[in-house]
Parts: sequence; C-alpha cells; structure tokens
Amino acid sequence: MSFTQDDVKKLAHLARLALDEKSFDHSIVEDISNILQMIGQISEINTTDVQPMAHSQAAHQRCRPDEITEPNVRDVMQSIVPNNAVVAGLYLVPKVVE
Amino acid sequence: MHTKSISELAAGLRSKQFSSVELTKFFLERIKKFDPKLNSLITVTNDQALVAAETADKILNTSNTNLLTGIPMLHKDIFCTAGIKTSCGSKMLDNFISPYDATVVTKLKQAGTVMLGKTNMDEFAMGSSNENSFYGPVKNPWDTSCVPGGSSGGSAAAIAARLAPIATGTDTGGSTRQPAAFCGIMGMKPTYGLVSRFGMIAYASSLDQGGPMATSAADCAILLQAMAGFDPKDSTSIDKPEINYTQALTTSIKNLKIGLPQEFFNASLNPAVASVINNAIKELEKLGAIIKTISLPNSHLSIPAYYIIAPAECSSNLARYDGVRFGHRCKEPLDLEDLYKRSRDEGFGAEVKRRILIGTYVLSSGYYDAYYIKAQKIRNLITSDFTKAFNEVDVIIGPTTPDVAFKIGQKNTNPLDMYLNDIYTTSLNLAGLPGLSLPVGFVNNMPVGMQIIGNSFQEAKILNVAHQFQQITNWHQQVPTEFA
Amino acid sequence: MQWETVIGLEVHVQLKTKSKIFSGAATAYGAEPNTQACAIDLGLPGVLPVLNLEAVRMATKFGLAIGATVAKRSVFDRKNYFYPDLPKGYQISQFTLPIVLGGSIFVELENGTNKTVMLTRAHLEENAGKSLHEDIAGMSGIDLNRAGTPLLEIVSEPEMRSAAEAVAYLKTLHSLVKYLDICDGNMQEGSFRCDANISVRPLGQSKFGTRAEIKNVNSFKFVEKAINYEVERQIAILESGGTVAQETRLYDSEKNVTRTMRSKEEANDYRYFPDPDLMPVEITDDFIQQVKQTLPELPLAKRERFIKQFSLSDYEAKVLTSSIALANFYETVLQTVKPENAKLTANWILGEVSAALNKNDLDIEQIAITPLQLGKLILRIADNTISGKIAKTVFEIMWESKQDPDTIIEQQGLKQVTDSGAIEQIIDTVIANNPTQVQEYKSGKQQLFGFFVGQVMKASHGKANPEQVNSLLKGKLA
Repeated sequence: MSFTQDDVKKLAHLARLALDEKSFDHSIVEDISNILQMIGQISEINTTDVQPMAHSQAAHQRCRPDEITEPNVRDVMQSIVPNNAVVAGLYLVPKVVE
Repeated sequence: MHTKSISELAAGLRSKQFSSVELTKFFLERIKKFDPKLNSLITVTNDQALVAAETADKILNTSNTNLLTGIPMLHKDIFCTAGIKTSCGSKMLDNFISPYDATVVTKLKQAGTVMLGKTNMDEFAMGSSNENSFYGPVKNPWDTSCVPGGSSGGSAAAIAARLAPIATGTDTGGSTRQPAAFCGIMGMKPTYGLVSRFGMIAYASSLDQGGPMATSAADCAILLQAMAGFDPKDSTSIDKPEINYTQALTTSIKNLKIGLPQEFFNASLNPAVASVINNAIKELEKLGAIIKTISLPNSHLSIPAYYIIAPAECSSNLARYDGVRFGHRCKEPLDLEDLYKRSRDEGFGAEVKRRILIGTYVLSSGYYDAYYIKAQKIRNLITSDFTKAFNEVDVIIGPTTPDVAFKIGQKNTNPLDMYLNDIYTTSLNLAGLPGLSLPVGFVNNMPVGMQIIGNSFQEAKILNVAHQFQQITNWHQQVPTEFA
Repeated sequence: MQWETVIGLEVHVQLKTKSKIFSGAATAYGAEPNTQACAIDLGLPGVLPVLNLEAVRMATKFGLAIGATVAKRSVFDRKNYFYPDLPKGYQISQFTLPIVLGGSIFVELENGTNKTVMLTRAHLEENAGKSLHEDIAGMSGIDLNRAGTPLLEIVSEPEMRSAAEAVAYLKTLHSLVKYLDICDGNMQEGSFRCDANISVRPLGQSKFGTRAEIKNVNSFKFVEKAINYEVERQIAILESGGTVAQETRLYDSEKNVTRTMRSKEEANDYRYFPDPDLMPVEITDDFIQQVKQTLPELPLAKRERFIKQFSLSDYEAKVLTSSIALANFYETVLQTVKPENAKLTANWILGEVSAALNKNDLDIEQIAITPLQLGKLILRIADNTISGKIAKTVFEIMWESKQDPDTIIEQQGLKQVTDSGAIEQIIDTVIANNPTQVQEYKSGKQQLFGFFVGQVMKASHGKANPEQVNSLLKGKLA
C-alpha cells in the first residue's frame, strides 16, 4: 500500500497533532507505512466464525449505587491548570465560535 | 544491606538492627551515588521518604505491622502520587503534580512501604528500551552502554543496581518482563484485572496491568500480595478471593507439567540464549517437573494484533492531553485548533505520536473492521491457543526475549526492529494471562530472562516455580560489579 | 411541485440521578462553575468510569414503558472527537448495542387524529460540559459541572410529516419522562433537548431527501418555528435546482432562521469502538421484573381510569392527565373532598386554577395553593357555605394571601345566606321598592326576572344563595 504525506496529515488532523510543515519529518511517512504493512499481515488469516474479543475477562459491568461521593474539589483541581488559564472557576480556551 | 530480601530487612527492622529511617537513608545515599550513571529515577522524594520512614518506625513498635512496614521502594512514574510530580516519562506531564493517589499507591502506603522516588520509563509506557523518555535514556547496570529494556526500564535498572529492594512496574506488551530479563531481575505481569488500574495512567486499557519487580520470587510474592485486590473504582477489576502467594511458594513442583511452545524456540531466538534457557529447564526437570512440547500456532500474530489494539486504545486514551486542564500547554495559542495541535505536538515524543497516528488509522471509518475488529478476532485465536495448551500443561515456559540487551541507539532508528523485541511477551497481554520473567543465566555477560506463563489467576503457581528454581540456583543473586 | 416533509427526532433526556453516570459527583443544576466536577469528570490521567445503577434502571423503565426491547447485553462505546466541553476527548456513549431497541409512542395531534410513532432506539451516554462564550479576555470559559451527567438519547424513526406532528410527539414524550420520574423535564435548564433531522422529498417519492440536523432546540415553540423555517429553506433550494447539504445547523430564535454550525462543518470520523474501561452491561430477567413493578400508571391508562372512576369527559380526563403533576394534584385534592365532588373539582382545576396559572406563567408544580386548601374550598361550595361565584373571589384571595379558605370566608364575611326567611325578607323589600318593574314583569316582560335577581343579590351583598333566590323569587312574583 502507498501511504502518503497527505494521508499522514489527515490522521494528524483527526488526532490534533501539528505536523510542522517546515520541519516535516518525512521518515514518519515511511515508518507508518512499514508499520501498517506489518500489521496488515493479519488480513491473510482466516477468522470466519471467530468472535472479536474486547476483554480478556468474561465479566459484566458492575454498577455503583446512585450516591454523591465526590465533594467540591475545584481548588485542588484548578491548582494544576497550566499557564494559569482559569478565571472565575472557568477553564479558559481560545474563543469557540459556534 | 542492599542485597537483603524483604524478609531479611523486615527481621532486621524488628530486631532493631536498623530503623526504617536508617534503611531509607541508606538507599537514598545509594541513589545519590549511583543513579547518575543509570538515570533510572525521574524524581527522588527525599523529604517525604524520611517522613514515611519515621511513621513506619513508630508502627514497628506496635503489633500493627506486616512484612512491608518500613521497607523502601520505588514507583514507576506512571502511578499517580498525590502532591508529587507524575510525569509518565513525558514532557506532556512534566508539570503534572497529581492531585490524587493511584489505588496501588494507596495500598502500598497502607502496607507501610517508604517511597524513595518515581522511576524513569518510556514515555506513556510506549517502548521496549527506555530510550523514549523525555528525561533521557536509562542505562543497563550490567553494561551502561546498553538499554535496560522498557517501558519499566527505570524500575528494572534501579532494582538491578540495588538502589531499592522492590519497585512497581506496568506491563502492556511486556514492559515489566522484558526489562526484568535485560537487567537480570524478576518482573511480573499479573492476570488482567488482578491489580487495580485506577490512577495508573492508561496506555492501552484492555492490556495494561501493574506488577511487582524485585530480585526474587519471594519478594515478588510479598509485593504482589500488597498490590493485588478488587477495586470498586476500576470497572475491569476482578473480585476474587485472596490467595496467599507466599504460602504457595514452597510447594514442590514434582510432576508439574511444563509446556514449551515450539514456536518460541525458532529462528528469531539467539541460539546462545536458547542454550541458557534449555539449561534452566534442565534444572526444573531435576526438581521433578515434566517437560512437554506444545504448540501456540497463532503466537506469531501477537505482534501485529498488539500493534493494532494498543495504538487504537492509546490514540483515544491520550486525547485528554489537550493543554486545557493539566499538563503541557503551548504558549499564546492563536485559536482552539492551535492550542490542541501545538500543545500535543510539543508535549508528545516521536514514538507516542507514531502510535497515536497508527491508532487513529486503525479505528477510522473504512479501516475499523479490517484492522481493529480483525485484531480482536486474532486476539481470540491467541487466547484459544493458550486455553488448549493449559488443558495439557500446568505452566508454559520459554525465553522472555529473543536476545540479550542491545546497545543504546542500536534499534531506535526503525520502529519495527524495536517492536520485534516483544515477540514472546505480547501474547500474554492479549490473552490477559499472568507471566513473569526470572534471571536464568548470562550470554556475553548480559542477563538472560526466562518467562513462566500461567493460566488465569495462577500467579501463585508461576511464583512457586520461580521460587523453587531459585532454591537450587543463584542467578537471581547476581549483582553487577559496579553496584555490588 | 408538492413536497413532503420528513422529520426524525433525537431527544436528549437528562436523567434525574443524584450523581453522575460514571462518577460520584453531584448533578444538581446551578452550582458554581466546576464545583461539581471531580477527577473522573475532568478526565485526569489515570481515572476510570464506574456505571451508576440508577441510570440503568431509568433507561430500563423507559424501555418498558414504550414497549421496547430492553437489551440483555449492551455495550458502551467511545465517540472520539476534540471539543473543549469534552474533557477526555471522547464521549462515552452506546453505538452498536444500545440498551433499548424499538418501542413506540402513541401521539394525539391537535387536529384530533392519532399517530403511533415508532422509535428506533434509546441509549445511555454522558453529557458534555458547557462553553460560556461571554468575553473573558477574548477567551471562552469552560464549566464541566454538566460533564458526566447521564443522558438517555431517544431516537425516533423519521415518521413525522409536519412541525405539528413533531411538536405533538415531543410533548407526549416530555409528559412521559416526567410520568416515569426519570427526568425533571426542565427545558430552560436543558434537561430535555431536541435535535430534529429534517428533509423534504417530492410527494410520492419513496427515497429520502438529504437531511439537515437542527441541534439543541430547547422549547416546543422554537422546534415548530425551526422546522417550518428549515422546510421552506430546503424547498427553496431544491426548487431553484440546488442540492441540500447534509450538515448540522443551529436555530437562531432571535432571527428565526437556521444556520450552519461552524464547528461541525467538517464531517467528523468518530472512530467508535467499545470502551475498554467498561464491561458489557448485562440486564437479567429479574432486574426487568423489578423495574416493571415500579412502572407508574401511564397517561392513557390514567385517562381511562379518570373517565370511569370520576365520570369525567374524555376531554377533561385528557387535560388532567396531560402532566403527571396535574393528575397528582387533582387526585390529592380528591382526598379532601367527597367522591361526588370529583367533577366539580375537575371543573375548578381546568377552569379557575388553570387560568390563574396561565395568567402568572406558572406550572402546576409551582402553585402556592396546596391541594388541601383547594379541597377545602370545594367542600365549602359543596356544602353550600358559599356559592360558586363567591368561591371565585375566595380563590383569588387564597392565591394572593395563601390563607385557608375558611379563614378568608370568616374574615370577609362571605358565608352565603341560605335562610329562606331572610331571603324572603329581602325579596319582599325588593318587590316593595320596585312596583313598576313588578307590574311590567307580571304583564309579560319575563326578562325582568334577571333584574330582580340582581337586586336581591345586591341587597344581600352577593351572599344570598342563588338557587334559593331563584325559586323563592319565582314563587313571589307568580
């Protein structure tokens, strides 16, 4: 399969990773191509009638009772906000336009 | 003192040969002296350690103690420790002071251990050589021009150099076992669900497990006992009756059926390593174990399946690192997209980015069935292989790695080269089975590790085999000269 | 060209659990920003979700109420995308195997026709936080209190054919979730949010047209307007030869238009996959039986009972059962009055009480008069202490003062006069004072009877019992 720079850029956008235009490391295209080729070998395996296995333990979800167990922890949580990007208890991000 | 077992240290503490404070200072001195050569620690918690040691000494005067009271230890920097930097080996969390303790950390605190610091690791647990750390590579104490293995390279190197008697590690594709093998110590991955993942920073949720790293099976058993147990905060935690791993160590392994997978003894395995493994197996035969050749026909598929499932889960688990609520945030973001893209690009290293991209790809529309779902079916096949094998044998044994530790820089130009290190270890994570590595000899003066694999929740049995082996051999007591 | 409108509705119902769906943080509305957001809600490194049993129970209750299949096994999936109000960078939802499948809702339209709307599915998911766009130094502020509150997303088949049908469906669904006590239905607070998928096609064509999604409309009135605008917009595009873009739009209530939602312009690949931190949800037959026991009497069943038990008309019963709060209020009042007063009580609630609520823009839940107080008022009408007309006055005073009817009747001296002798005396006086009118009445002007009644009522300050006035007057004027 031919995996191109464009393909990498589309993935990078979905994953919100800036791949710098100027210093674009072309080896990443090759690395990913090689990895995809390696993992692609599974396509040759016959898995008809095999169920996908999401968990190694066959258990079901345990539920918890509907109780309030967490207090207000805003001060502690907001003490670790990077670059102090918090005002009046709100996390700050560049303006979002709907 | 640095070569004493937990039991010996515990006895010394109780007979007042030394106090926990003295013991702690002793290891902190060793860290100060030796770690510059190894770079195995990201954070040393001098002050907190001494406070914890003082508390332990008070408790040692009461009857409210257990074997781990006052024993110094290290935590892999993937476990959240309240009030203490938890970096996960990454620039992304270089500024992260965790507001809470992981369940494993809480349990070990309650057991009275004294944390000396947080160990270096491959960034976000992705790597097999500890060369992917933001804090620089860790060196193998047996040859500092070699890698210690990864991702728990810091814990492995520190234990091998006897900077602490025990440490925690985590294992997603072999990350406690492989560095244990490279460093000549013991590392274990418990059954999936035995050890709580709450507070253990997630890489691949359905594969990650925290496990003990120590110099002997006896010490691994004690540490595992304290780490294991049902946690209601972890939906994947399994509620099972408690087993006494220490008690089970002394069972005879006469007539124990040991399976050797023919696929593990193939061309990928360095013949010198194969020879060491075979010698170790002969020792087990001396103890009365019965050796049988078995087949795990789909084991070669574990690498591709792993490198689909793990990146997929990680691409989603790492989406929370966006510079908003914690972690690295880029300066003066122009807009929201810029905030995300630059913070993440600056915060993550190359291997993490590669795996995020691969993971994004295999989950994306049009590829999900062919890659992710298919990989989960392969996972089923691999698991079935083990289920069938365990109908014939009690434990499965083989090499932990295809070769001994390689040189720093030797394999990090082509990611695929690095991935092939995990050839014997990843299948256990996919199947959720317990496994450990113990040192069984040397090749070119570098340690060789042998892997013992058990069926679900058979940690006691595999520790038992390791312990019995260690009763008649002394590979586990070897210390690299420089740190002896 | 004749066009047919096709509407499918997705309603996000916020379940009224005390704690969040995957964490133990509180869910109460209106708290200071980020004071109800724990480590799990914030998506801190290392945290893990654990499912709230009550959310499962409420979803199961809903499924049973609409005759749907409650899945014995359902799975939580991650919906992956980046947005500031989504701390983990993914939303935990259910994609492939939802907890509820199928089901239907019987809708009565205002024009008197009925329609059974089939539902596709309903699934559990976590709510996102809120972005506040007020200018805080050119930034947006994120409040994650709402992040992690439980939602039940209810999806209908695209079976509505007009804005009216859509609104009728929504009102019925709204009433139902309140009946089931799984949602407080507060649309201003965002507890019940509608997304409408709208497309048009030439009448008779079976193939669906391209649909646009109008997101997050939070009032029935706006849903109607948004749909009407959007239908016209799409028809205009198609009639001029263009194509409708498949996109997400927002309804602007100030300008009464829909417009493209910027952030969703690019088609998002959500990369759904089962959440590895959660195990499949298994629901046993036992659990379903337990939940079935807790199902309340549903609106239609209650309506039938009201008709039979209280001899109400279809219309009266329908209105009284349109909301569980109103139905409960009615039946609570009935606990105070006598069984034969059921119809009178119904009239009062549908009449005076509703009018007062409407005038003050209140819902029955907010009424200050208690059912006991209203019941006492009705007892006083029934036992002739006051007339129906005086009762209206008492009611008005009750509304303002919150006092008990007996207190008001005492203080205002409003007891009606029922002593025939006293009434006769008043009648005699009126007759004596109005000889001309008496003459005219007796010689044929029957309509003057009202004049005499008025005079008697005036002389008695409105307190004479009207029925007695009528019969005694007739007698005296004969």
